[in-house]
Amino acid sequence: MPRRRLTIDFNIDDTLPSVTALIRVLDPMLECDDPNTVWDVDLSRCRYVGPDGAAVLLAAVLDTRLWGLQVEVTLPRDPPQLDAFCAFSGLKHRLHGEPMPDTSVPENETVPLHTFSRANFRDADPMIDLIRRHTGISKDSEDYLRISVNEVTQNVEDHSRSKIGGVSCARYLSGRREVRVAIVDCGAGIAETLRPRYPEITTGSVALQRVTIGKITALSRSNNAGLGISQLWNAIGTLGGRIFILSEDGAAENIKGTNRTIQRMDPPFPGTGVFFTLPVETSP
Amino acid sequence: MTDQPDVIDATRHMDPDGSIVLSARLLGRVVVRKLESSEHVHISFAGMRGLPSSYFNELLQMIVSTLKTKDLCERVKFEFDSPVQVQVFERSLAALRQDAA
Repeated sequence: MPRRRLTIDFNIDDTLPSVTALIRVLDPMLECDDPNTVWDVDLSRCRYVGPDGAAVLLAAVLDTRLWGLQVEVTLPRDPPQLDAFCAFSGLKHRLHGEPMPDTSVPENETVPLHTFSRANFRDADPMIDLIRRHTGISKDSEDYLRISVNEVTQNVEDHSRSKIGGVSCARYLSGRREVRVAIVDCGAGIAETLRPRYPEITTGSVALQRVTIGKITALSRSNNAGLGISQLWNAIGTLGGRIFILSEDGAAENIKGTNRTIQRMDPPFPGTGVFFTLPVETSP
Repeated sequence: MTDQPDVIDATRHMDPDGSIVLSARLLGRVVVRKLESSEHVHISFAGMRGLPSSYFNELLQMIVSTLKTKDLCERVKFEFDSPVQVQVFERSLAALRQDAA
């Protein structure tokens, strides 16, 4: 069986350029339809992976395996903090079958990878619980985080038609008092779901431009009103957070508040990924 | 019809599996039933956390299936204990009104 190696020898920061670079490396595997090929994804020389990279990596592996292809992943072991992240995020468990460590230990700052097919009120509970283990969280911060997560997971349920469902991962950085959340699917992108109702939306970039403004919906469910992404975008921007969304061949990122830059992604993202960082207001 | 508002506690009408949309529908059914016998209905969302726009879109659409959008806020009072939640609700309500206009 032919083996093909994909090497990720750079840090996968929680940023648009890093996630884009990761997709560029994984693209041949995601585009492959030869079930005889065995893919070796080598991250041994990577020195940082965060929730964004973890969610994208797991989604890519699950999607590839769903098509009957074999994927083997070599995870990094150094530095020790990264090795710990690979354990606490569930990467070692999901990809190598290793037992999950006890994520309630005080030093843990990671919410493990979670796959879902339906949006659930309790999706943000692990994030809130994690933050509370480190600090108090204000009611407003809790509300913003829960609402932001639920806006995205509901979109995955309603629109994505993703066979792997959605994949989420999160991390609370206590030194920065911020929570980083990644929610990824490998389904139809935003443009593809909108196009039947809006034929003029021919690219992911145009789709992202429109949905971040709001009031545009694929009506995948009859009571959709097209407010979810714009709600999320405005909330994150207003609070001084960061957000970038990748969908098919489009990427949108906020620059200062709610202003957006839209750019073309090549290769395209195999679905939709929403990545945001929210400052956490602590409560006394 | 009775004239006293009936207070519906949204926390008591949630899908046991936590589905956001099903929870909205459960609440919506209760509200629609109450509107058949009460002139005014009061929904309390106190204690509810993380209600996204989809929840309110679903709920509001169910309610206005039985009464006119313009009568919605006259007959139904929505009470929140979170200003963040109010913002999300008001966006959904504004979208509903815009569509009805």
